[in-house]
Amino acid sequence: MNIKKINCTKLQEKIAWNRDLSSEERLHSIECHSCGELLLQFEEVDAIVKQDEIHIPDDFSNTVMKRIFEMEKNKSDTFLEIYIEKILLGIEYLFHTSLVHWGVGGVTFFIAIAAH
Amino acid sequence: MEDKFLVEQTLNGNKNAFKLLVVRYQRPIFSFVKKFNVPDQRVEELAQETFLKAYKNLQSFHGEKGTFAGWLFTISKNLVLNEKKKKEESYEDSNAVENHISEDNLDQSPAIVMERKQNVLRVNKLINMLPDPFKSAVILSYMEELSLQEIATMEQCEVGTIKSRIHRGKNLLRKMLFTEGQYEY
Repeated sequence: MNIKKINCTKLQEKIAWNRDLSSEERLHSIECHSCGELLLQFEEVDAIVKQDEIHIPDDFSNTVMKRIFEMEKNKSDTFLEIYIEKILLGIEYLFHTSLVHWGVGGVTFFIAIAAH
Repeated sequence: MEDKFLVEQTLNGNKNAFKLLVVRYQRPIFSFVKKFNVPDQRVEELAQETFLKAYKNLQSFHGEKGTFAGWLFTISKNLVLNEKKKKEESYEDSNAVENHISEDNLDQSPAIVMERKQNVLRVNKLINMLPDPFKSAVILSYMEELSLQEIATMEQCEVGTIKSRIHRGKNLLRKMLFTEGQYEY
């Protein structure tokens, strides 16, 4: 009876999505030859795909966390380096400008004395 | 504990919360990367990079636009596809059957283990032979963590399109497997 109620094309799409079928749809797929054959083949493909054993190293999450800590440390180190570099550049700038000031002032002073 | 809560905690500086997310998603991400026929030695590295990138960009994750799982799989997918673009040639047959025999299988008959591994490799290879929109739709459909809506968001299309891609992709896969004569049914 169920065979007539359910649209085979729609059900076959649903079988392919691999999502839960209603009890009515399950019953149809057992009774209907084409849906049943398709269900079997998809089940077999799915079973093979799911057989793929995944080996995850025991310390995987620790390794990821270690890399995160390192990444953050490098980031803060880089930030500190940039900060120190900026301070040094500032001091250098001040030094140079003072030197120039002293230099210009000194030369002017000597010229003034010589002129006098 | 919900993903959203763990993300918030991570953003507040609680790294243990992120570790929980890593533990929760390490298996699906490994499985996902592996389905793209990535060589075994690169699977772990790509999985690590996925989590590192997720951590770095966690600020840009908006819970209201989608789930953390969907966001994480998108990162992983982009990393894998970029890598595959660069190294397509070297990926050919890099996963020899011999490399797939793990210690877990030692108590089983080597012939059974070998046959099972060959089947898995053959299916993974066939999945990777599917045309592009079908390939990622089929791979994503095997990720139980993702709903069809989430897959559609990841693939930037309608749910109906995703349903059709999965259906057509899996049909192609089924035909390749059962009509090629490579696989006895």
